Amino acid sequence: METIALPGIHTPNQLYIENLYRRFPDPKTGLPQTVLENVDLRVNPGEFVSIIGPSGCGKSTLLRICLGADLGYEGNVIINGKPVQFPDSTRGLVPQKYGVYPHLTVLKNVLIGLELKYPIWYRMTHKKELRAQAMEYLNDVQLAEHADKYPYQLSGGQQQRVSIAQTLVTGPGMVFMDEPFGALDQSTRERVQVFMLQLWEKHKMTVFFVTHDIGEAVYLGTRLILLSQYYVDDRGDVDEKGNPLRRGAKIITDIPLTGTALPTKVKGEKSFIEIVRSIAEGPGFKPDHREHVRDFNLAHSNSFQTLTALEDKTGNGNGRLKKMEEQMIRGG
Amino acid sequence: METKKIRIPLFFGMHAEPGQLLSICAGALPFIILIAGYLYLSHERNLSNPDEKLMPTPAKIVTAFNQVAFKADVKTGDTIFWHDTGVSLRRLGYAAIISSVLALWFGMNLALFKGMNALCMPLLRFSSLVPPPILLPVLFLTVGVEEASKVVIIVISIAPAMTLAVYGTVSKMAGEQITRSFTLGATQLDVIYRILLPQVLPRLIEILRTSLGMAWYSLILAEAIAASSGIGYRIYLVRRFTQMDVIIPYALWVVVLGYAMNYILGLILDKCYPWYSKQKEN
Repeated sequence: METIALPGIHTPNQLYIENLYRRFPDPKTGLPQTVLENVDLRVNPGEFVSIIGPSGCGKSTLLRICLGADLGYEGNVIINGKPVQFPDSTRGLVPQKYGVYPHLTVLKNVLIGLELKYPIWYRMTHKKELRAQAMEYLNDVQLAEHADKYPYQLSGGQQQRVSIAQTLVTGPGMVFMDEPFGALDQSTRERVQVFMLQLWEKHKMTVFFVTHDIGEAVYLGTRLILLSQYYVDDRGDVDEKGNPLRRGAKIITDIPLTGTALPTKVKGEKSFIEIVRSIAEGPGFKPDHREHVRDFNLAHSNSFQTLTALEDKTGNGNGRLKKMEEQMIRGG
Repeated sequence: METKKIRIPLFFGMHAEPGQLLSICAGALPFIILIAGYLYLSHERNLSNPDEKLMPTPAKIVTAFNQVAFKADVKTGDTIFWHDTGVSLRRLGYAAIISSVLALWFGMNLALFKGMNALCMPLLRFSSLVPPPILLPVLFLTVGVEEASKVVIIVISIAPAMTLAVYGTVSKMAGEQITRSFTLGATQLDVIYRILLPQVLPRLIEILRTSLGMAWYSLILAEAIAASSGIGYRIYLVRRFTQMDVIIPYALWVVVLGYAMNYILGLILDKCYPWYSKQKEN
């Protein structure tokens, strides 16, 4: 696993992951069990990356690693040109639950993002401005009239909107969302989705959006990543004792999604339904539908793949990487 | 066709829904039976023996209570009852404050700092399993039989359990919420003092509330064995003269005090932390 230095990975709000492995000890045997296996990913500023995958494939683990909340990984994770740091305000997080502080009112929940950002003398002298700024974000999430309520007085969808406002008010260049709308009912969910897109158009941050809803992923993202442990490679399907080989998840699909203009992305449209169906029925979602590592659909222009000699005995897989390197050198 | 709605039983069975009035009456019934039984028995016993001490009549109890509550003691000049109450409450109060501070400080440290956890957790788990009465003789030998030993015995008996409860609360809160706070730009001090502490305080009050029973238990025990004043001391002292007419009002008084403390702490919780109990309901 030698490191390959690629040019152009040091711009702000860019994510670059290469040869990422994450192993956890198996609770029963104590042997290391691979959750993420040789993951390569490059994301440019401003992309809206939807991440999907079968349950237990390590979507949340990948997010935690990018946030700096899990440092037990192997490989390279470069964010903002540096190896991933402890969690800080450059990377926002919107979790599925417990996003808001129960002991603060709605306004204070948003305000605390600003208060934590500025030193105390600035806070004391700019009380009004900070308040106004927080109110502006509350307006954006249409919760201005609930400013003085406590979270327990709000519905799940409203709480999640507070959580989003709280994250965005700090102005992070990257936002990581871990199934943020998973606990919401369908109609609330659709409203918050539209709202999320509006915020993204406005702030142009890089978004990593984990979801188990393919429709949601296709609707929101500019790029779709399917993370899955269901694939085959040249190591064969069983280990030396004849047990089926358990592999860590890889990115097995990485495709651009049509355009960012809202009106064309109508959920009822035929092409939309077609994409969702092809992904749902495609490889990687079920254990019995597997694709070879060489045949992954990595059509996105930022996508690359570094395979080890064991995974790909022909050595053809690395051709993709070489091609991209050439492109980058030529294109600058 | 049958159109009549089924009737919900009032009292018996799992479907029963006793109304408010019935609930109050039902709750009062055991008390009424107890009191009536006592009155009857004490009346019978007093008829056959005017010097009856085991079950004094209400009149005798009131006389005895007047004696201890409103007449100054010849030796000290204090009224015994109020003096005992003051002494016991002071011991209890000190112990509650010390235990709360210890539980908060250790509980949060144990939950947030893995190094602290490694250092202190085994000792805490060990000490929470030692029955406090076993430590009484040790304490009297080392700390002495002064005021401090009574406070210390209460602290020893409630602080470990309270610490573990705070630890559990903070551990559950930690994790995701801490990561999220850091992503909002919080420093480590911010996380502890602005995010976690305000959420732990109401829980601490609740933990203290549930620990009060144990605290009273230890207080009475310590006072019974080595003290010269206090409610526990008094009850054990008059037991030697079979003065049930003093023991009964003292026992009732402890109940009243315990109820009042519980009520006041509940009031503080509702007034200062309105979000706390509501949030638990959701």
